[in-house]
Amino acid sequence: MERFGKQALITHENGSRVVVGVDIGGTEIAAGLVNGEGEISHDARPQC
Amino acid sequence: MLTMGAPANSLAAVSAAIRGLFAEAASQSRILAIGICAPGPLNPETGVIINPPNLAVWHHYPLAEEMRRLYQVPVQVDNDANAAALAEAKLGGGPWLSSANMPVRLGEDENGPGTGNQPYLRYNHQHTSVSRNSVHDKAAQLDQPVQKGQARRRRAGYQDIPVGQKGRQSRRNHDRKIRADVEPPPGILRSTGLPIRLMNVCFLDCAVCEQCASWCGKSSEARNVF
Repeated sequence: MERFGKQALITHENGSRVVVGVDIGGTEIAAGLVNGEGEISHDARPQC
Repeated sequence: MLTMGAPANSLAAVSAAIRGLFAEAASQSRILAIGICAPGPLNPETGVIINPPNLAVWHHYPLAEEMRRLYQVPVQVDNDANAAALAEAKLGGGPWLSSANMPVRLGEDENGPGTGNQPYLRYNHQHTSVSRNSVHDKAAQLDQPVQKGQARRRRAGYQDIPVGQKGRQSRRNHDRKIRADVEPPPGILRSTGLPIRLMNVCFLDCAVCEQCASWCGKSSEARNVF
């Protein structure tokens, strides 16, 4: 994520811009919203 | 994940996972950037998935470019093991946080991804490999012992990788082809800002540092590349 620069790391869920993280595995895909501290604030793993 | 068929179908699956994060499709306009970790080998500079054995659907597939086209935002793709290393360095609680050395194992592993020279991790202090599954699975796997051999490969979803003597040769040939395509890029590891110690180790010709000695019973010099 650091390649996006500091601006991209300032993310919030309260209606402002967010950064999406996606983990593609061999059997499923997980996605999450990532906050400015690199923590997953909301995630979903619906796709197999 | 659709591992066979048309590449666009797997791309659609990725988009569906992202859609699942938002209550309304319109809110996807809030996306500022997308970071993707995927099995290697891949090129993190171009975002091209090269030829991962467990994602045969994407062969030299420009994943980052396709995602940029869909979402019109910056997209960064990197190896899943690199991403896990970055997460561990930034947010993890491993012993390297006190020792200022984060052990990262690079190299081939008979029981590894089958793709040879792609970077992957083995948290030697926990005898745990985290190279092969999703980030969530990695987290869940941290306390699990390494399981060697064919059974482990199959449990990890590598039924399509040939096994046995001919299978090993086949994988080596596959590895050589990968090496010709791309070198493993450690760039994201550098981005942790931590003094990361990379250990060029091979499961079959083990060369490890003292931190691994208790793990495999051998020891030799480690190579600090940063």
